[in-house]
Amino acid sequence: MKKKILAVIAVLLVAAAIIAVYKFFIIPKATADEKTVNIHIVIEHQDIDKQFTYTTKFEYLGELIKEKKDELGADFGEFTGLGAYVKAMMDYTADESKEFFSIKINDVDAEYGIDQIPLKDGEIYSFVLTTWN
Amino acid sequence: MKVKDVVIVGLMSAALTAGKLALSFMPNVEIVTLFLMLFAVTLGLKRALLASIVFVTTEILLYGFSTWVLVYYALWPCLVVVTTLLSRMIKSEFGYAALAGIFGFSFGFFSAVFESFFYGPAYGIAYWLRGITFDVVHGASNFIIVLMLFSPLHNMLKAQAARFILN
Repeated sequence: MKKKILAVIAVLLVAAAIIAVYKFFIIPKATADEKTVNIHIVIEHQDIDKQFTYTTKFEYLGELIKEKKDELGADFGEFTGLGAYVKAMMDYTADESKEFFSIKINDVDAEYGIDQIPLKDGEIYSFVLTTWN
Repeated sequence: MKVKDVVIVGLMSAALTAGKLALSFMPNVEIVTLFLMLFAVTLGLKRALLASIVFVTTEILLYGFSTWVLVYYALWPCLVVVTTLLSRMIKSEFGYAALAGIFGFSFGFFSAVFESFFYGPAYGIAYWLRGITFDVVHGASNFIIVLMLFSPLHNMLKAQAARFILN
């Protein structure tokens, strides 16, 4: 039994260490400094290609677009366990059976959801209506 | 297949679903892994495989159809097969606990691989990275649950199986 308890403690310590490394070193960090960022929205079949520039102290993309949702015509959904996602932009709601808003940061596919993407000065955050593969 | 087997597989599947629902308030803490490993070791590959398939089908009835269904149809039976294959080599509950821990920890990764077939690699990577903390909880809790409960439940199930099922 003593061996089992030691194993349990060891596993809990390893798990805590992995979670700490993930939280402190892997998740992108955000700052509360003032920054100027661009929100670019592309909905090709509606001939929409608009860019908005904001100066903000928000830390994450999700905070900014939720604050500006009326101007951006944005609406949001929630993936269980994965957080918020954008389901509408410029008052156009993606047909979830065939399309979604792909997020790109300076034209590179984002690896996190809107609530985990830190805002950085000068970056362009694009929401491109994309059809599923 | 004997009537007795149909009944046993039904009971095994019911235990899996009930166990899953009972712990559903704790994200990624589950006893399905423990039960399937026990079933594979104690009641045989065929019964355990069928129970895992019935369990996943019941999940569809409860939660609807989506891409995770394919992951479940692949991973849970895979756990049964791997457990059966390794059971000849594993000498103590530490081995089963390690297998359960690895299975829990890698569950999100394999799910992400399946998801990337449908939604592309970027979505798969995002899915996996976003869920790493859940995978760690899944792996650690699987290890602890199997380490603590495998032996007593195995002894109990083996005794009952000898009395009612395998004779």
